[in-house]
Amino acid sequence: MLNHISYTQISTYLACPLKYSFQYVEQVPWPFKPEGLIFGSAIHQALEHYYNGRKEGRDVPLGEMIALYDAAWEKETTENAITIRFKNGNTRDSLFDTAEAMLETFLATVKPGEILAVEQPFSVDIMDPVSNEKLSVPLEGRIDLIERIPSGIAVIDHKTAAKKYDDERVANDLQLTAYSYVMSRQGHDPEDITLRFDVLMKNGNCSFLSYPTFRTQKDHVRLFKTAQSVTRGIEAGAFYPQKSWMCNDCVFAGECGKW
Amino acid sequence: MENTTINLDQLTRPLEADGSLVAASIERFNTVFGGRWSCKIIEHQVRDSEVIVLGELAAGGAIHQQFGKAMITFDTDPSSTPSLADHLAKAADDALVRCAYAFGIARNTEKKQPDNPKPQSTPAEPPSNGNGNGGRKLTNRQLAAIFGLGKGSGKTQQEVIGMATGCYGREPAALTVTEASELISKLKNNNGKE
Repeated sequence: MLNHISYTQISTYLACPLKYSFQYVEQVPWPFKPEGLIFGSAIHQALEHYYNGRKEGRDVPLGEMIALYDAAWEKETTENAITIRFKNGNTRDSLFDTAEAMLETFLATVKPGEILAVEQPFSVDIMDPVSNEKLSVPLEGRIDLIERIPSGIAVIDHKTAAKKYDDERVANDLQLTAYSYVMSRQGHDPEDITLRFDVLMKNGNCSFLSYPTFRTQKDHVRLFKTAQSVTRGIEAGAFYPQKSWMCNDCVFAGECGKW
Repeated sequence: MENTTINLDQLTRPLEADGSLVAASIERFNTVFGGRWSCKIIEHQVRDSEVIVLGELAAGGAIHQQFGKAMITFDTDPSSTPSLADHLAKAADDALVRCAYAFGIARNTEKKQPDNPKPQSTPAEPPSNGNGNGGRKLTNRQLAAIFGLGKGSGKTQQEVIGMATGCYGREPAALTVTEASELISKLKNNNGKE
């Protein structure tokens, strides 16, 4: 029985309902962890440390961010002792060098506004803003960063990526829609909220790119309908495989083959 | 191994962060000791998910032993057999670099500091007190733990830095292993309410 729903749960179910079942219903242990996940999480922790420092008006040195990044890897490889699946000839050392260059670029490029919140948890009812119909479970999660910018409030999610984002992804991404909805539940007009992906690029010159966008009430209605359909599917036990390009890297490929 | 007079500054100058640490370590030992140093693997173990070796590096009348490890990984096909030799070699490289660290040389993570318009705090180097590992610069895990424990107990980063400078006269990033360990204990024991 669901007691809440998160963006990650919704997106996992939409990508592959069977993967959702392995992950959240059966809670099958992961046989390995993809390098990208550990890398992204380690960078995330370095950025969180940076923004917590900036919130205090502190200039966080690169060395501290690198230490936070490295400690996150160390935790995975020693405490959690899980097998890491590397790709494209990468190693922990080569990824360290990449991370160092990315964080260096980040520090040289970032122009933070006034930091209002870092890793802000939320739990809100999911309601259709037009009909006021309400889902039985709340939407829960965390917002990476909320800043005050000259035009108002910016709600930011950090990503690491090898490819630039296209306009369609930025305009339709459900995660940013969920964040817009959360802010609207706190009394903000959705069209006054700037939503942003701040993306640290892994390749080439390790650039740091921002993708601003916004959402409207129509997007919130669509989020409600999507969340409603997904929760109905989960509660009905509708778990089936969805073949896609993501299957190659899926941690449950072995379980899926046995299904 | 004969005792020789060595140039400590030359030995412990930070390695450039670019390129292979193994190659840089070997080059450093060649520069400082000529051919009068050796590295060997004392023993090795192959476990389910990792291989572990015990390496020994002898130079200038000193011997350091360190474990090295390599996670057993699969490139793309989990059913493929990973090369044991490759993983052992990787673990041996890891042991060599750790031994090099034990001799006092380390990656220079400060090298690439950008021309950042924002002022960056530059912590003073920890004193070399000659008491073994405890006198070495703290590890990344310790630094992360210090800020993590501080945050967990409601302290700001500035307050954590204040604790470190109050106790040791230096920022957390400049503490030694021993000092960092003490600070971590304080943060744990007092739940940050010192």
